[in-house]
Amino acid sequence: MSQNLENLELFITECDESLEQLESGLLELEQKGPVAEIIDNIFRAAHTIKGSARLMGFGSLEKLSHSMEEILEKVRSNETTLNSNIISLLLKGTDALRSGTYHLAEHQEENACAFEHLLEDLKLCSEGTLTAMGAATKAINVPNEDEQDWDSADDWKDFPVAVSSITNIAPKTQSLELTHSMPAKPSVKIDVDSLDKIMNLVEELVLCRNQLIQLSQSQNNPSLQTTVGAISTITSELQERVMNTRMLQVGTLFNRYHRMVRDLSQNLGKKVNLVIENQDAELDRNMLEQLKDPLSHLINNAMDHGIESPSERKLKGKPQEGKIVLNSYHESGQVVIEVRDDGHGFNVEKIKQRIVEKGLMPEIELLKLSEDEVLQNIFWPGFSTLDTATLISGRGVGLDVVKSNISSIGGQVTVQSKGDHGSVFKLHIPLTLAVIPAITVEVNRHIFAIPQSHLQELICLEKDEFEKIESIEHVETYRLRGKLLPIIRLGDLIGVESTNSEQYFVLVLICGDQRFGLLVDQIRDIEEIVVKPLSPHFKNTQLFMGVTLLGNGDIALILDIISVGAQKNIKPNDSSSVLEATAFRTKTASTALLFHVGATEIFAIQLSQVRRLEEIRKSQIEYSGPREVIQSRGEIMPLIKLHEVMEIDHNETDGDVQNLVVVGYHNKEVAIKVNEIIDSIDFEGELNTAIIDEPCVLGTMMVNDQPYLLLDTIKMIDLAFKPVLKEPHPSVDFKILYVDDSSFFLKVVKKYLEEAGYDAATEISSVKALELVQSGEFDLLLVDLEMPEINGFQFIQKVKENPNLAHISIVVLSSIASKRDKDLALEMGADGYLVKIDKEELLEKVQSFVDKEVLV
Amino acid sequence: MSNELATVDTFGVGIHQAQKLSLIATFQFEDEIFGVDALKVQEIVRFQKMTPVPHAPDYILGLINLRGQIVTAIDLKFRLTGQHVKITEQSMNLILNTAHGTCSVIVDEVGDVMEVTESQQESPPETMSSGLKKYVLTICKLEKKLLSILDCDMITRIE
Repeated sequence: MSQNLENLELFITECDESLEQLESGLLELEQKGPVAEIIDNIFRAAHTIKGSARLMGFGSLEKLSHSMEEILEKVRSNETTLNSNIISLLLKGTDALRSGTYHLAEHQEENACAFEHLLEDLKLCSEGTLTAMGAATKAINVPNEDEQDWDSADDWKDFPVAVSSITNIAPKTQSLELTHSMPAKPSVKIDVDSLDKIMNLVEELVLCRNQLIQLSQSQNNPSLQTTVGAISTITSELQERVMNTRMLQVGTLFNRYHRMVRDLSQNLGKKVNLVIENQDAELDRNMLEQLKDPLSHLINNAMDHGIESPSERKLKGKPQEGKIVLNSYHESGQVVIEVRDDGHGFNVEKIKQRIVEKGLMPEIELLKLSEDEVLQNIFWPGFSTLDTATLISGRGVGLDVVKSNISSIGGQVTVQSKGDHGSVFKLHIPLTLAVIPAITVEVNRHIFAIPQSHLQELICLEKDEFEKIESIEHVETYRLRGKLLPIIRLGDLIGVESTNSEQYFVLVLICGDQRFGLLVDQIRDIEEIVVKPLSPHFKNTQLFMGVTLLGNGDIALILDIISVGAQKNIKPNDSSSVLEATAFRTKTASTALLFHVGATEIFAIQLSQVRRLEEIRKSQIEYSGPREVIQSRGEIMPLIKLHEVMEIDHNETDGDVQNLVVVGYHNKEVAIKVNEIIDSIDFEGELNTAIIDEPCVLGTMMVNDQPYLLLDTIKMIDLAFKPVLKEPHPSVDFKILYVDDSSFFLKVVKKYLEEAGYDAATEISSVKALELVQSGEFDLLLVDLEMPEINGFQFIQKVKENPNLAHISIVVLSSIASKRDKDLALEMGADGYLVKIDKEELLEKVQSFVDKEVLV
Repeated sequence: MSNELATVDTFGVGIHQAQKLSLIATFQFEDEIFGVDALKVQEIVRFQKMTPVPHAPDYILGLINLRGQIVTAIDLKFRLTGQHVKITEQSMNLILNTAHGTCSVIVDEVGDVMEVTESQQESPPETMSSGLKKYVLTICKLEKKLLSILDCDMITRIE
C-alpha cells in the first residue's frame, strides 16, 4: 500500500514537471509561432504523461493526454496549422490534467468521466473540424457584453463570425516579451524536512570545523593545517550551498503569472503584457508560497481595474497594450516586490469621498494627509472604489486580504499612484531566513551585525581626531562635509563602555530620509548572514531585528537601524516612512559626490564608484618614479592629478592637508587629489553630453541650475595610468626568484614575468632556493606555501630570521585564498599575498616592488 | 532512591495499573534538587558561550548556539528567587522543548532520570510562597527527601 502511495507521489511529481513544460511551451508557441523544437518538447511532455498514466492505470488521464498528443502529432507533421484556438484548447487540456492529478493526490483515485466535454473538443480538433473549434473557442472566449468597446480595427471583435477564415493568428501576439521562455531544468524534489535536517547537520559540521581549526593552530604541523584549511573551505561552501537550496528566486513565483495574465486578458478583452524586471532576489521557499495569493490578487486587480480597454488607451494616447511589471529588489534589509501597472491609477478624490462615506476618518483629518497617505486607506476591509463589481475582482474584498496575508508574514504593503500613469504596489517582505549582506561591528567584545543596505559610508577616527566629535547640549555630532551628523554611540545604547582607545569607527547610516552616525569600536567583517528571528521571549526588546550565526559559530544580534535611530529620536519623517525611505533610496542610486579641483570647476563623480574619502597630510605623499603614491591600508595607492588628464588649471591647495577621493579600479584603489569636497547631491534627469569635448567627462548635469561635470572614472584612470600600468620599467638590477614545487606554475609565472621584461629565476626545491637566496642577488622572492621539505611559512621565517636577508621582499603565491594563511604569512614577515594566477595582479604587485626599489 | 519501583507489578495487572508512571529528569541547582518532565528534555550540553542580549528581560541570560540553533537561555534562579545565577565553566545547559520553543536552563549538575508514580506526587503545600509556587507542578515524595517538580512551560514562559 505504502509502495503504491509512493509510486503515486512519484507519478504526481513527474506529471507536475511535464505539465509545467507543456504549459510554458504552449505559451511560448503562442508568442513565437510554430517552432519545431518547442513542439517537440511539449509533444514529449504529453507523451510522458500518457505513458506514466497508462502504467499507473489511470484511464481518463491517459485518454486525455493521448488526445492532446494526437493534436500535437498533427501539428508536428504539419497536418494541422497551429493557431491560438488550438493552443487555448491544449492549455485547457493541461489544466484538466493538472486538476486530474490534484484529484489523485487527494483521493488516491481517478475522477472518472471528468473530461468528457474536453475530450470531445480535442477529438474534433484533431480531426480538423474547424466549426467545432469555433465552439470550443467560444466557450473560452465569450466577451463581456459591456466590454464591446474594443478596438474596432482589431479583428478580435469579428472573431466569432470569422472563425472559418482563421488559419494562423498566432503571430498576432508576437509583441509579448519572452522572459520566461527557458524550459524547466531537470530537478529532484526533496521535502523540506530532510533539507532542514541536512541544514542542521551542516551547521554542526561548521562548529566542529571551527574547533578543528583552533586545535590545528596549536599544533605546529603544516600538513595538518593544509588539510584543515581544505576542510574549512569545503565546509563553508557546503554550508552556503545547503542554505541556498532553501532559497528560491522570486522569479520562480513571478513566472507563474504569465498564464494568468494571458487568460485574463482574453477574458477581459484587454491586451496586457506581463514584464518581469528583476527576478533575482531570493526568499525562503515558504515565504514565496505565502506570496502567491497576494500577488495574484494584485495582478488581478491591475488587469481588471488598472489597465484600460484598448480603445480607451488609444484615446488617452497610451500604447494599446497595457503593461504589468513585476520587480524585486533589496532595500533597507527587506525584499521589496513591486507590482506596477500603466493603467489609470487611483482616483484620490474618490477615495477621499469613500473614506468620509464609510466614516473611517473625519473630513478635517483627511485634509492633513498627503495623497500617498490617503491612498493607503484602500487596504481597509470592504473598501472598494469601483461602483460595480466584476467577475474577476472588485467585490470589495481583495486588498484587505492582501494586506493581512502580507502582515501575517511580517511584511508591509504600500501603494503609490502616479495619476494616469498607473499605480505601484510594493510588498516589503522581511528577510527572516533570507540572506543579506551585513557588516559586523564590535563594541567591548559584543558583536552586532548591521544590514549593509543601511550603510552609506564609513569614517575612521584616529585617536587624535576624536575631538572631531563635537558636543552640543549633550548631543554629539560630527561634521560630515560641512553638515552636522548626529552621533549615536552603540556602547551607550547597549550599556557598555567602549574599550578601544586608539580609534573609533563611525558608520553613516540611512534611516528613512534621515542620516546618523553610529560610533563603534571595531569593524570586523562584511559577510552574508542568514537572518533568524529572535525568540518571542524578546518581544519587548527593542533595537534588534533578528539574530544570526557568524562563520565562527558566534552569535551576533542584528541591529534594527530604525529602532536604533528612534532611541535617540531620529525618526524618518511622517507616518509614511516606508514611502519616504523608498523615495530616498531610489534617489541615492544616482547620487553624485561634488568636489572642487582647480579654481572654478566643480566636478561630480558617481557616489557608487567612490570607495571612501581620505584626508591626508601632504608629507605622507611618496613618489614612485614620476607618480605620486600614498600608503593606505598596507597597500600602495597611486594618486591622480586631474590637471594631468584634462585641460584644467593646475591648482594645488595651500596648507598641509590633502583631500582624496578613493575610487575602485579592478580590485585596486586609486585616489583622486581634490581641493575640497563639497557635498553629495542627488541628481535626476539626463546628462548633457554635447557641450564638453573632454575624454574623462561623461557629461554635464544640472542640479539647482548649477552645471557640474560628471567624471568618467574608468577613462580617467586609464588615461592617467595606462602607459605605466601596461609598460613596466623593470630595472636591470631587479632580480626575482620564484620557488614552487609545481613545474607547471614555475613555467607559467616565469613566462608572465619575462614577457613583462623582468629578470626571473625559478627553483623547484625550496632547500636549494634557500641556498640561492643566501647569495643576496635577489630583490624579490615569490614563494609557494605548500612545498615538500621546507614549506612556504618556514621559508619566509628562515629568510626573515637572517639579518643579511631580511630586507628581501617576499610575496606569497598561493593556490588557496585563505585569510588565515594570508594573515599568518604577513605576520611572519611576507610583504604580500597573491592567489595564483592572476597575471595582472601579479605584475602590478611586482611593479610596486620595483617602484619601491627605485625609490630606495 | 527509587526503590519503590520494585512494587511495579510484573504481570501488568496489579495495583499500579491505574497509576501513571512519569519519567522525571533531576538536576541540582544551588544545593537543591529539582525535577522536570524528562520527556521535555531534549538534551544536556556543557557550558556554551553565552551571548547577552542588551535590554532583554531580567530572567533571560542570553542566547547560546546549540549546533546552529539559536536557543534562549533562561535564568532559573532569577525566576525562583529573584537573584541572578552565576555561570561557571562547570554549568550545564538543560535544553528543554517547551511551549515557548527550545530553551536552555542553566543548572549546576545533572542527576538521574527516575520513574515516579502519581501517588508519590502531591500538589505543593499552600504555605509555599506564591512566587515559587507558580513554577512548581508537584512535590514528589522520595524515600529520603522531597523533590520539587518544575513546570517547564512556566519556567520558560514569556513575560
